[in-house]
Amino acid sequence: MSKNLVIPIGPQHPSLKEPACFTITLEGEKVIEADIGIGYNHRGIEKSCESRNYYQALYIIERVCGICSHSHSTCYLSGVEKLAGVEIPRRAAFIRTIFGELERLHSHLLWLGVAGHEIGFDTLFMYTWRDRELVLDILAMLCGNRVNYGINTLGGVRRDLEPQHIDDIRRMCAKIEERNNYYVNLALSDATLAARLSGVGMLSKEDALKYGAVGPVLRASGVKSDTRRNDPYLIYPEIPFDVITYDSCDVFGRVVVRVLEINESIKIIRYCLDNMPDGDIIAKMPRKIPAGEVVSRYEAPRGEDVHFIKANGTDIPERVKVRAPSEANWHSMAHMLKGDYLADTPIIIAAIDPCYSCTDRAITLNNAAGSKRTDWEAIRKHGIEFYRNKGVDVSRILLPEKINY
Amino acid sequence: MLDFHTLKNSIIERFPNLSDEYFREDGTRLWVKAVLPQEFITLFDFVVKELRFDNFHMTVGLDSGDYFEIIYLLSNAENQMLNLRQRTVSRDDTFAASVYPYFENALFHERELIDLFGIDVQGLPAGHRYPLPDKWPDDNYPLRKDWKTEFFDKKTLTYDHEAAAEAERLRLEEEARKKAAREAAIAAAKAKKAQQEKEAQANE
Amino acid sequence: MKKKIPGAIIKTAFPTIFQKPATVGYPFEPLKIDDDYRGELTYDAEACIGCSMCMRDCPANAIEIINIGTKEDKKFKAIFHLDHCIYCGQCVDSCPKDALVMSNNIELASLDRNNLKVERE
Repeated sequence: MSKNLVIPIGPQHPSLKEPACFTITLEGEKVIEADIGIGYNHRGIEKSCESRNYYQALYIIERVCGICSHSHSTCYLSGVEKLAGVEIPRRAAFIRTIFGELERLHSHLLWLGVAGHEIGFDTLFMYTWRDRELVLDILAMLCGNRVNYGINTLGGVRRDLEPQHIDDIRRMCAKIEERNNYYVNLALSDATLAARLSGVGMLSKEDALKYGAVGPVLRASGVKSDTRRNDPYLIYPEIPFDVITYDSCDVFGRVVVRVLEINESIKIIRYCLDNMPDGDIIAKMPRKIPAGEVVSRYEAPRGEDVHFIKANGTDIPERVKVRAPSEANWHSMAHMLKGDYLADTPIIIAAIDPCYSCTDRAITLNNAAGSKRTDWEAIRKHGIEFYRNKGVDVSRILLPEKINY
Repeated sequence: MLDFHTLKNSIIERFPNLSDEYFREDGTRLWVKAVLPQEFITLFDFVVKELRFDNFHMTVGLDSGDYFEIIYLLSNAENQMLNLRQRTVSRDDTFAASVYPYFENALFHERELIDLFGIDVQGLPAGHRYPLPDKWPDDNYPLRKDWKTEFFDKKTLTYDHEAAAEAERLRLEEEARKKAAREAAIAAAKAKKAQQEKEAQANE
Repeated sequence: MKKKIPGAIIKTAFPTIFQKPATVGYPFEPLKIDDDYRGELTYDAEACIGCSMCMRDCPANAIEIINIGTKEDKKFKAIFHLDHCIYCGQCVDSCPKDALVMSNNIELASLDRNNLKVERE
């Protein structure tokens, strides 16, 4: 009867993009218990929105996350515009949809690269991130920045699409579609990828519904649920597109769902470009929003994003609450980690496409002028003490002698 | 398809003390006014088990002055959204019933209520606090309206209660002064108008 | 489902040996930046009327407009905190007189924090 080994993964770890502390209990190589500690990226966004007016709060909410920034901004504005009783012009709705789908494109390509990197397939990582640059160049041309687009404003959008922009977008869509055919072939016919990812991170349909999974994780377990169809917003009621599901309930299914969703996004962008009406891009909005409460939902690349806004008649919101999609997927992840091997842990954590910044939303800024410099010995001692308080003893790990720090 | 009439009636039938004015319809969402913890837990049980609202989205904590409120967003297979509310008895008696027995994914949301509002949600399993760090001082609940970020010292992790009380006193004084000035201006304008009318009458 | 064969990537990976690399050798090569990229702010003191709408709408308190003249003969000066600014451009939209314009200069990093507080007249 061997003793169970407790391993901490995090808060700083090479395979994690952002800090989180997973405490994994192992029996041999199998994970039998996983405890999630998040909250390192908490930034005080909800509190800071309560002392800023709606225009300032828009930019704060946009910066909850770098890659789902347009989702958060559009979701927030759907709520505020509904409270004010203002309907945005149709052309603005089309432009917001195009940006939302461009964001989905580059977010899924990013994820494909990260997943490839986690399993050691670095060539896929390089390819997808090279293709992603095509999308980011288009976004920089359209709105002035590669992420955090700032295209939305209260009542509509800030910049219009010129005819030469539309041609560039079409050319980019054609290129990405051709490259994506290659990824679809890779996902469906490459034996190594299938062997590595099939059966890993199983989440059955009942468990996915019970633990409240959202987004591609839910759709890879066979549940046909997409906020663009469940609770339509902008112009999605008119656009013909398919909700992609797959029945394998494992990480391989999530790869297939995301790769096929790239094709659907390209279809949606083409539909919007073909049917774009002329007209204004902004409607007049009052500075003071009438009192009320509203809940708005949006399908971000990672799943369903829910915002709650309470207004009190002044130009400062009373309460803004954001539930990002990654927050809903944490419990399913804890469940998925059990029963799999330690070596599968990075890809399972990456498979829900976690956005730690979206999950936590408050920071305490440290004044850099008051920080103190410290040396390696002190850091090592602090690290050992930190983990001892969590019940894990890492002091017996020895460091190699002659390293220049 | 999205018919809230039947839904409202089935809730009122089981809970007759919830009259029609407790409900508000808003497109695809039905909002219900706040109820106290004991009644809330039976209402929640009914809505989840019998009306099959088994998709839990999130909780929202609110500081409503005299008490705290928690909003629960649920939806069902037909994508109708029902927003139930629970309220605490008062600002000091902050007991609230937990929905963890029904939805395990409510865990992080309820921990957030405990940490950021100080609402006493009971029945959660042991674990790390979320989202505040372990060294956070007690009795400091950031999302309450009377806790202001500018009085919190991030280095020493202490809240300056005197400075906060002083600032609040100055703010109330300023408001009283502005109100007095407004009333004086209104009184002066009235007196001037009365004077002008008197002069006009005397001229006739 | 197609038959699963290993090494499907070789057919696509092999030609890339002969292709141009996708990376840009910045800072030794120039970076291609569009004209309407959101970069540093420029300020036109003649057009400014001192309404402070930009200060009111800035999410990060990165802009200050002060009157360096007299009460009768007003002359305005702007102070930008480049380290606080989030380059959102809301001040440009809020200004009723178009006194603020965003240039596309993004090379603003500095080793000295004091260089990031710039004054414009």
